[in-house]
Amino acid sequence: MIEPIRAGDPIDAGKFAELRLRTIFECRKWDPQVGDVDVLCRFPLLMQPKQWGELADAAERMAAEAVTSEQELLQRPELLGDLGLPRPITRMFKLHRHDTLTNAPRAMRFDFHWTTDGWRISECNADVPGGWNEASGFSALVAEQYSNVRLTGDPTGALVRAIHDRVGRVARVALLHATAYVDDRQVMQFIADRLLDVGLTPLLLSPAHLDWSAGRPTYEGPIDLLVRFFPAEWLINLRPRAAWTHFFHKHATPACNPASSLLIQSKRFPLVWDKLKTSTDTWHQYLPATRDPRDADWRGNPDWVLKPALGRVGEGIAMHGIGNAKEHKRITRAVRLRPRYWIAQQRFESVPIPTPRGPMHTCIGVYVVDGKATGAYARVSHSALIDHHAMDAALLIEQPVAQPAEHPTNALPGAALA
Amino acid sequence: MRDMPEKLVYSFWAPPTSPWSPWVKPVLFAHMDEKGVGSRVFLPQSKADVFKVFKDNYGDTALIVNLPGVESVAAGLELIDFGYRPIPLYNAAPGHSRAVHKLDPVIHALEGGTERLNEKHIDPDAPPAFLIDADRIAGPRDPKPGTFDNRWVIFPQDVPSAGFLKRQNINRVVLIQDEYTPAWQDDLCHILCRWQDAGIAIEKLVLGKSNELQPVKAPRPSYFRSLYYRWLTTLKFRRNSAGGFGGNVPQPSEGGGGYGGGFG
Repeated sequence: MIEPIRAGDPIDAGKFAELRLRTIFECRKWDPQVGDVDVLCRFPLLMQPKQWGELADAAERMAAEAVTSEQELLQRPELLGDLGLPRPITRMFKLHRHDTLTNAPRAMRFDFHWTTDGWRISECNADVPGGWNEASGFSALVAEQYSNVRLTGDPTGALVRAIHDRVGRVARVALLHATAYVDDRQVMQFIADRLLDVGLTPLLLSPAHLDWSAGRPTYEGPIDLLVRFFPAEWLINLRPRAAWTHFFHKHATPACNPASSLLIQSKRFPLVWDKLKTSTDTWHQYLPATRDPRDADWRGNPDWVLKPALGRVGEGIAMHGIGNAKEHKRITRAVRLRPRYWIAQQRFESVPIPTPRGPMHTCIGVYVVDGKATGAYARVSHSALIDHHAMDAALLIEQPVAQPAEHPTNALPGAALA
Repeated sequence: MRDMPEKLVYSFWAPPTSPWSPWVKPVLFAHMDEKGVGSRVFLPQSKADVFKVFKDNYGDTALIVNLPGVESVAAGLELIDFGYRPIPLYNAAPGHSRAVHKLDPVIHALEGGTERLNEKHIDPDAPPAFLIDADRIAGPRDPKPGTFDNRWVIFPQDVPSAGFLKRQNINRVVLIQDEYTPAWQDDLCHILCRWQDAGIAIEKLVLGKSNELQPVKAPRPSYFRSLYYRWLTTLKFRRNSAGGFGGNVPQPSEGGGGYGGGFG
């Protein structure tokens, strides 16, 4: 099987040290080191335009199917109990099922893996996709070092344009996050920088900081749009207790993403596909078979992976042969006790690609903003489980090089270090 | 060092020649432009007399300086004279004037310390003195409405692994604290136990108490080595602090009930 992606040559160590410094300070990447891993990868991943086209097209089709499914789910309260959401949230969706909650830009990220069966996705980050600093910032800095390549896009730029289109200039945009969590704050700060560039006023706030007494969110004045980087399922812990419910009502202030994105963020979303009128054909094509743990023979079976319904960044996942036995036991016990909050998913076999650091597994995160694929970045790891120890790599598209007429060749053009 | 760009200040603390530089946390450096570079620096009373216990530095000992606030930075700068490289691991956003932890003095000390780093020769192979704030988790259980909750914890992912330490010939770690800091902070135990299990000896220096090195055994914390630990910790903090561990605590006028969550 020919891999559709390949690793480029690594950037010279001295140049990369400067690039790393620029990434930290210009792209607000404040967690460049995780344990012993320098998570900024010195080499890019290179892809042919045709392959990128396939991923972009698949991501756009899945995004369309997901948004339509979300709308249908809001009208189908009998299905909500299957999604493994906290009970108060399920109740809230049932109460407000006629609200569409989608009057704002939508942003998602689909995580593609190259496997023995072709491209597969491990998840869709439909609620609070991250990685904007790496996809738009770090990737652009890496691309400067190479010739004959282009970026896949600028997801942050696309998001900022979409926000600007909704609210116009001089609007106030609240960027909601857990403010002292540096991992989260750096994402919001990066987007805030880009909002400032187009004349918008970003407000770096906690969701608990909003005043809803006027029936819409305010903070020392009106807010024109909410960008939420705070998982919807954690909103229920806001104080006072009633505060969280505002995020689940329809209100005049657009929210990106709306709380209803949780319906498709749940890894149990596939369990309701057969009951939906909406087609999920593209999801069927790319997502491995997913079951309620009670309906799968996962015990002692290495072909199944156990995942929490609302898990993120590869945490809480049990895969045979990965992680320690005690941890695996802890997860399987949790699955047996509370299966409705978990899924069993057929394991795919990720195909590692040769890289300057040896064979590595890859994950391509493709962003879709308002239905359009707007760019991507990659994560690479020696382990098949791509988690927070994985490295962030730029994904670049190889550009055809004009060949001299006297030496025609069909060889693939390669990216060269500039 | 007035008006020194934050990138340059960071480069002094994290020079490419030191194997420990990748662990220097950038977040406070990234806020230097907002906090006024070159502000007046207050450094607490010298502890050089106590640090004489480190005079025989064979390069095989790493330090964790776990003193309150700016004191860790001050101690780290003094430890340069004993052959150590200070590695700041502060990992919190400064927030505004009503923050639970005032980080401006630490930011100013890091910036002011650049002169000392520039003046002194630090061997590229100098072992690390990791600098953290002993009060990072401290604070009121229910911060007053309007305050900016910027407490933080240190995770095993924030420091080198035992394997890396050993490859750098580190076989002993000394935890430096004062007598008012809890004997064992849970987040530190997750780190120390990992190192201890790999055969690295742990010792303690409690300032103001014995001022002598004491061999110790770090107690095993709950969820030790669990992949869940980071996830659960994150969940716990966020769940308990309404809007996030680190979130602004809402004013009563914003919802009528004030802040009802808590930490820990």
